[in-house]
Amino acid sequence: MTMPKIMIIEDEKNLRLLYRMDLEKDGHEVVTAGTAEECLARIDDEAPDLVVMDIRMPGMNGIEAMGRIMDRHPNVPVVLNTAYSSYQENFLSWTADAYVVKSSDTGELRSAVGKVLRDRKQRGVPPALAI
Amino acid sequence: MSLASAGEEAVRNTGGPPRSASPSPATLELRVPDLVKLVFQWEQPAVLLDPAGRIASWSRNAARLYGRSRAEGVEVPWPEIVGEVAALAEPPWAGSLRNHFFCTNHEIDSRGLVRMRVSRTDLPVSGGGEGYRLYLITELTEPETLRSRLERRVAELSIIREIAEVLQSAMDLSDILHIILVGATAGQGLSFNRAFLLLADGENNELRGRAAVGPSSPEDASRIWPELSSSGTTLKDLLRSLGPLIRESDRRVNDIAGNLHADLDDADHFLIRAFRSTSTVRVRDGREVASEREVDPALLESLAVRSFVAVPLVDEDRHVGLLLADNAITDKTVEERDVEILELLGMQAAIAIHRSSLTQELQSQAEALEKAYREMRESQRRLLQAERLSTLGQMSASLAHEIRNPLVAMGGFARLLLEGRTEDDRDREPLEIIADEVRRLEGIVGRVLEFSSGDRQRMQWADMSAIAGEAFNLLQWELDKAGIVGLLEADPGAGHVRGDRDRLLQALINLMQNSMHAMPDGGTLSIRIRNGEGWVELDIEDSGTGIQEEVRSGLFEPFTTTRPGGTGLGLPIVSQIIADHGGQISIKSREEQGTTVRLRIPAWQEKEEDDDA
Repeated sequence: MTMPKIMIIEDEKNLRLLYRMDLEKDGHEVVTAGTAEECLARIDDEAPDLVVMDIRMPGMNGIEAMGRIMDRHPNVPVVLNTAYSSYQENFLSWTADAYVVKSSDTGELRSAVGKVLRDRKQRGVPPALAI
Repeated sequence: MSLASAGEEAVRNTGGPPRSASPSPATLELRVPDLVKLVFQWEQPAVLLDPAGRIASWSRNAARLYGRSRAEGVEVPWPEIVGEVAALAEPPWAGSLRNHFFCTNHEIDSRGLVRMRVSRTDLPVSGGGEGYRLYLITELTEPETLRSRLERRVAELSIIREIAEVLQSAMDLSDILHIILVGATAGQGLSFNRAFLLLADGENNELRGRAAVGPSSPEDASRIWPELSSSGTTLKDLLRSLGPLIRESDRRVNDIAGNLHADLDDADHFLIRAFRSTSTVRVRDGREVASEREVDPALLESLAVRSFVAVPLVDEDRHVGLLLADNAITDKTVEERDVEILELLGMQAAIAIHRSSLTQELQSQAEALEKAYREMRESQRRLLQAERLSTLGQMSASLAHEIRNPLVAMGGFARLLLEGRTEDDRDREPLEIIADEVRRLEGIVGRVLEFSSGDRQRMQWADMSAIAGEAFNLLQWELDKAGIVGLLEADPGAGHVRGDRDRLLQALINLMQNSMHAMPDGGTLSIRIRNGEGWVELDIEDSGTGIQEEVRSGLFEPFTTTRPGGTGLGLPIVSQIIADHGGQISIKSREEQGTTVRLRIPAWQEKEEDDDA
C-alpha cells in the first residue's frame, strides 16, 4: 500500500513545517505550497490524494482555489484549514470535505484528514459533491 | 357767619322748612335774598327756583346729588337738570295753589340710579312778586343712594377683578372651570345658589356639561353654607383652594352637569340657542323672558329648577361654552344687577377657557417637537455607538487573527516535541508549560473573536433594499441638515442576499457617510439596487467632490484617510464585510463629479421560514 499524498497550502512558513512534521508522523507523504497560485501550478504533477487549504492568503484566496481544484480534479478531497471560524458560515465553504479551525492542537486537523481518506477508500469511488 | 345766622333766623321764623305734607297758614313773608342764603346754607338737598323756573340757589348736597357743581347750576332751567320727564311729573294742580305751603310726593329717577321724594313748596315772597318754588329732597331708601350704589358697583367689580386675577394664573382647564364656578356661587363672590358650565367640544360636535357647583337640597345647603361663611376665608383664598373639582357635596349637581349635552347642529335646542346667542337668556318660570318661549320641560326637570340665567361664553366671536346659574335653593329672584355681574364673569371665563385650549394646543405641539428631537438624538447616538463598536470589533478581530497564527506554530511545535518523551524527561515539564500557556492564549483570542462583530456573523436571508431604506432612515436627519437629497431605487424583487443584516447595514452607512463628507454643500446621494446574473448589484452614487487621484490606490488600506479626525478604517471595514459575504467592491470616481461605489453580493432567493424572527 502506498502512502497517501497530502498537499498543504499555507502562507505561513512555520505552520507549513508544523503540519508537514505532524502529518508525516501519521504516515503521510507531504508536499507544501505557499500560495494558491503555486498549488494550482503544481497540482497536476503532484497528483495528491488530499489537499489541506488555508483560506486567507495573499493573492487568490483558498475558497476560490478550492473551486478551481474541484473543476479539474473532482476526485481530490479538500480540507479547509483556517483561523477564521466565520468562513464556516460562508456557504461556499460548505463544498469542502471538512472545515477545521486552526489550533496549536493539531489533533483536529489530523483526525479530519484521516477520516476523509478513510471515507474515500471505503466508497472506492469519488462521492458526489456535498452541497 | 352773618349768612349763617341770617339763615338760622329765617328758619326759626318759618318754623323750619316743611318735611311733611302738613300745610300751615302762610302768614309770614320772606325776602328773596334771605331765601337764597337760607337754601344755600341748607344741609339737606334743597333747590330754590325763581318764578321762571331757573335755579336761584341750591344746597351743596342738592348739586352733588345731580352730579353738578353748585356754580354750574345757577340760572339753569330746572328741567335741564332733572330732565323733562321728571319736571313734568309734578301734579298739574300744584302750580294753581300759589302762596300756600303744600307738599307733593313724586319720584325722580336721576340717571336711573337714585330714587327720591321731592317736596315742593310754593313760597309767598314779600313785594307780591311771582312765586318762588322750593324743592326739598329726601332720599327714599337709604341703601339706594347714589353713593352706596356706586360702592356696591365697585365691590362687584373688585370681585370680578379678583376672579380674573386668579383665572389668569390658572393654566389647567379643570382649575379654570373650578374658579369660575366657585366665583359664581361663593358668598363672597356672586352668591348664586348653583352654577353649571357647559363647553363646546368640536371633536364630538357637541355642547356638554363639564362641571357644576352647588348644594343638592335646602338641607344640604343649610349644612354647607354656614360652614363656608364661618370659615372666614377671602374669595381669593377660596378660589385658589383647588381641591378635587368634584367635592362630595357637589356630586349631585355634577351628575346633572354630566347629563347636559346637545348636538352643536341642533339649532332648535334651548342650550344650543343660548350657546350661540350673543346675549344672556333669562328663564323665568319655565319660559324665556324675552321671547316667552317655553323651555323644554325635560331640561327643566333635569336641572330641577324653573328659573335660571344662561350666559353664553364668547371670546372675540368664538363661542366656547355656556354658563348656567340659578337660585334653586333660596328661590331668590335673579335681579338685573345679578345678571350684569354674571355677564362680566362670563367674559372672563370665556377668555380663560379659550386661552387654556390655545395653551394646550401649544403644549402638545411643543411635546411633539420635543419627542422628535429626542428620537433624533437617540438615533444619532445609536449610529455613533454602532460605528464605534464596529470599528473596535474590527480592530480587535484583526489583531486576534494576527496573534492566532504564531500561537498555532508555537504551541504546535511544543506539542510535537513533547510526543514520545518519557515521564522522567527533564524537558517534558517546560514543554508542557509552553503548550498549556499557548492553549490559554488561544482561548482568550477565541473569546475576543467571538465578541467582535468580525467573527460573529449571523447569516440569514436579507433584503438589501430594506437595509438601504433603514440606512436612509438612520441618516435622514444628517442628510436633511447637509442639504442632501436621498434617492433609493430598487428593481422589483431585487436585493435578496444571504448575509448579516447588521453588518451589511454598517457597510452601507459607512459608504453613505463617506459620500456625505464629499458633499459639504449638499447634493444627491442615491442607492440603486438591481439583480445581475447570480449577483445583487448596489451602486452608491454621490454628486460630491470625488476622490483625488493620489489617494485612490490606497483606499482599502487601513488608516488611509483624507479627513482630519477620520480613522481610516471606514472603507477597509466595508471591504471586509463585503468580502465576508463573498462579494466584491469597486470604486469609480472623478474629481469634482462624484463617486460611485459598486457592491456585488451573491444573490440568494430562498427565504427561510424562521429567518425573520
